[in-house]
Amino acid sequence: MLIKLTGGKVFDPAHKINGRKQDIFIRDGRIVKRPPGSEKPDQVYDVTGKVVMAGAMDLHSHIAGGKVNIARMLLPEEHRQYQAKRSRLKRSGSGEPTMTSFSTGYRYAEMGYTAAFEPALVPVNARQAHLEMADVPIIDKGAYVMLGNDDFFLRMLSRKADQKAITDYVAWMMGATQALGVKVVNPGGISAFKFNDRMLDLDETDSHYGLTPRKVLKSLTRALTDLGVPHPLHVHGCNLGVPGNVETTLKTMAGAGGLPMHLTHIQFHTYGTEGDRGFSSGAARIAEAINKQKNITVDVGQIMFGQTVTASGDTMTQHHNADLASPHKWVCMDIDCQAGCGVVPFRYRDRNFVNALQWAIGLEIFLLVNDPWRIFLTTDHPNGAPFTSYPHLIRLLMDRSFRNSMLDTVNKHAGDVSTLRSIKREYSLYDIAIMTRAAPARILGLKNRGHLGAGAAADITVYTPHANKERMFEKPDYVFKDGNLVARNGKVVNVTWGATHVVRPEYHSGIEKSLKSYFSDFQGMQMGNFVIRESDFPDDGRFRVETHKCGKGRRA
Amino acid sequence: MTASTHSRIFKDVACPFCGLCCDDLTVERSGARRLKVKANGCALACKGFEKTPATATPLIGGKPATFEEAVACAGDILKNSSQPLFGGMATDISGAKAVLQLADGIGGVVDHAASRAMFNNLLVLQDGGWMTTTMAEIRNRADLIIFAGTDAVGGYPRFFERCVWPKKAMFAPRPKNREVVYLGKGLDTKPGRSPSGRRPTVIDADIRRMADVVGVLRALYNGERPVQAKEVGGAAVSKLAKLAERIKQARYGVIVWSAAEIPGPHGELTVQAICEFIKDINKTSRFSGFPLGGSDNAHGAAQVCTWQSGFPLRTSFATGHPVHDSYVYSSDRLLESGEADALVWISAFGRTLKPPKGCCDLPTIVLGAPGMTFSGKSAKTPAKIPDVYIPVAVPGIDHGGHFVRADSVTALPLRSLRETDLASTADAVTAIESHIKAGP
Repeated sequence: MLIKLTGGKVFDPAHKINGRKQDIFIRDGRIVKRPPGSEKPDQVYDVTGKVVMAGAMDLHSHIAGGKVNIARMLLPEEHRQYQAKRSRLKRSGSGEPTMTSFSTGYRYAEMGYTAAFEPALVPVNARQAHLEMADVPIIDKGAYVMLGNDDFFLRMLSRKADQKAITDYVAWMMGATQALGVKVVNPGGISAFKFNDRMLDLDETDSHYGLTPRKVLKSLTRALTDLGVPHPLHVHGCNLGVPGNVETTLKTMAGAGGLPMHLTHIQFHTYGTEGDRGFSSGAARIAEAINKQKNITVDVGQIMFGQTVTASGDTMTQHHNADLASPHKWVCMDIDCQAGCGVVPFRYRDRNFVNALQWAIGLEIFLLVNDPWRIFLTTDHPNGAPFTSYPHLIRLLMDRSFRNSMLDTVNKHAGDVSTLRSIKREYSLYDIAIMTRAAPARILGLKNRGHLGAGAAADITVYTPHANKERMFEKPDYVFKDGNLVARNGKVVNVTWGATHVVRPEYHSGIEKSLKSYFSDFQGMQMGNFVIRESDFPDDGRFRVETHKCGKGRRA
Repeated sequence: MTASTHSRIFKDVACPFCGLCCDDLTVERSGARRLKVKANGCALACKGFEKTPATATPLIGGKPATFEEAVACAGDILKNSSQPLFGGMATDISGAKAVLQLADGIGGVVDHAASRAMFNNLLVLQDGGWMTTTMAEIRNRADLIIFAGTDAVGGYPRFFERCVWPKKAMFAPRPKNREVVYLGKGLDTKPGRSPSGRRPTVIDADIRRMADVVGVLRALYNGERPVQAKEVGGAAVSKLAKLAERIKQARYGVIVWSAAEIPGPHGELTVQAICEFIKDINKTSRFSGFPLGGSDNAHGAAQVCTWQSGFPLRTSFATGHPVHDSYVYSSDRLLESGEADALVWISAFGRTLKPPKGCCDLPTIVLGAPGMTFSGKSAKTPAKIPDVYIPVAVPGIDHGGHFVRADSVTALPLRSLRETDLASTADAVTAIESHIKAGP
């Protein structure tokens, strides 16, 4: 079947197309070149005057896995507040910050998103997370496996194992857990907390292994570079949320030594200690460093005011902040000699100095980093805010007068100390298309996504231009997923099932020998049962793996 | 892993017959269907793998019927029901997903056979949160393990082998030097004796008053006010004071409890006393909790229900969106009050988990493991003869699937070890759903 979208203004930064009027053709789920004039399209959508982009992609959103489910269990009140009824098409659901699985897929699609990536796959919990993501409809999914606090890795590193063996382990783990990338959370710190260490800065050694977070980062960065994994190490750094952590973050960037590194929810790592309240913005310094170091990419983790819940692998920090929980209840869990999780509900208040400044810091970073190819639009859903706030966030970036009017409503002292009001920059539609489409696809190594060239999967979003960008982005006219019209005017019209994106870096199977005995001796489960195979899942199309190529890497 | 008629040996088989889901079993199949556990099987595993019949005939009103007839009959019952209850829920993840889809579609209530126990924990999680740990952490890290009101081995036969006395552990001290403490009475404390013969500390205490016992232990630990009492819940305060001191010295201590073994109503108060104490200890040192549970894939059902509906079971879909109330939507209450007007009882792991007594007067559909018997007469088989019995294949024997073990973190793959002509829970439920959708 041939579908034609005619007359739209196309924003496709991967092909440097910036608002050009151009027809798009779709055949069998893919974008194709204009067919010969004799072939009549089966369907034509007149999108004259409308904005056409590839489907948006969220490269950091906690949509599934044990900690998300703990957050749901912890907050029945949230699920009573937000209810989603079943319909002929849709399953019922509930929640907003910890939205349920079906609703998550519907809502992303309704906002023009066609992919979201779970950034914190705990290895032993990976199977459950994939079972859960198999219940997230329409959008594509993928996950980054959390390493760097797992005792197998820390033992190797502390015993000065050959980096090649560590690299093999990383590759094996990515395959075994069906991962697209690797994330490290508070490098070594989650493990250190199990030994009762309460803080661990970049160059401090933990009390058991005698390792520094810097060493952990270096080894994992090296592993991914050597393997040619497209997505760089996804780093949740040390000292999240601690005033003064901007120094640590700058050192972390410099420590990458020019190798690719992605720093996630950097807003939470951009805090200084200046001012009479001992809390200040480090955004200018962080942005300057990002602008200089082309090997660095970041996502922001913007906060928005209101009730949410923070769900993180970082037990050390989450336990430290547990007394701030609102409502006052929280969970911390040590997980199977691999990881941890901490779930702390939080209410960001616009009248609170710290919260208001956090909001301003996020926006300052967005606006001071020059290259939209290296900064990504996230709220670290749900930690900064639910993903449903993206249209509002886009308006803040695209509309200076709106931004300043919002700034007038927050804590006055925070407004006064922030440089936000003086920043003139407004994002263009082209910039938005880069940071929410072209750039995420590129940095994740998904060659057939995030653009509108021939051969790409036909994930397409069509908007009606509007002066109010929040209104424009919250309810796209049409959303196509793999060529199927799935949402119209912000409502799901068809429920399909997306792919799970993975990479499978190669490794020497010799590593399996030591893993096999580690699993039976220490992990207390068998290695063969840990490894996730597609054939373990029902043949219902809801766990459909799409494997992407690794680069050459340095090891080849 | 496809089954065939040849005999063969299966290694590293995961066992779905208790919440530990041990995955190191060796199971031999002789011929097409006979199974024998050759290695690492406890009594529960042997019974489950070896004694579960391979097939059974569907019954309508106790009389043999075809699968299609039984499905049609079940579908008709549900069509005429305005508040169907999906209880038991003992099945694999795919089975739980199928049940939830049907319940969501027709406006039913979902609950699990183990919910009474599970909600002793979940109410605490919902109210104040907690700090917990997992099996591999205990195995490698714990130097002090306190069993509060449980001996673990009653419901989880290999707990000590797997978590307390493994041959090796990564972190000091050596597993055999671990200290084991029991709080309670009438517990089997023999497994608490270390491989080198050291006896566990046993502090006699009335399990019904465990919340008080832990409360005093917490007061002694915190030391803010002197404790005047000499005894609490049958436990000597002097012994508790010693334990409080020992807790202060622990590098990584764990309190293990089993919510199912807390007697009487409001077991959540006991669990909360334990969990709040653990939070206190963590202000200065590391300590964690381990809630034993998860048999009959209770955690699997709760996890699926939570990610799909936002709530961990005891949830109604009658209004079109999930509504949760751990009191209102408990199976027992819905059956006793007569508010449920049809029961679908799912028990795929074994033939002994039968519908509760309260279902006598309402239309009942059982999706159960083969070999379930219903006489309705003897005390051992109190259930009435169900209107429909659809025998379903056993996950982990007859078909593959997934099971979430006790720590609620690790899902293990179950395997198909033999051929079956029975439908899985998911297939049977989906067939019923299709009948309902197709019908007039």
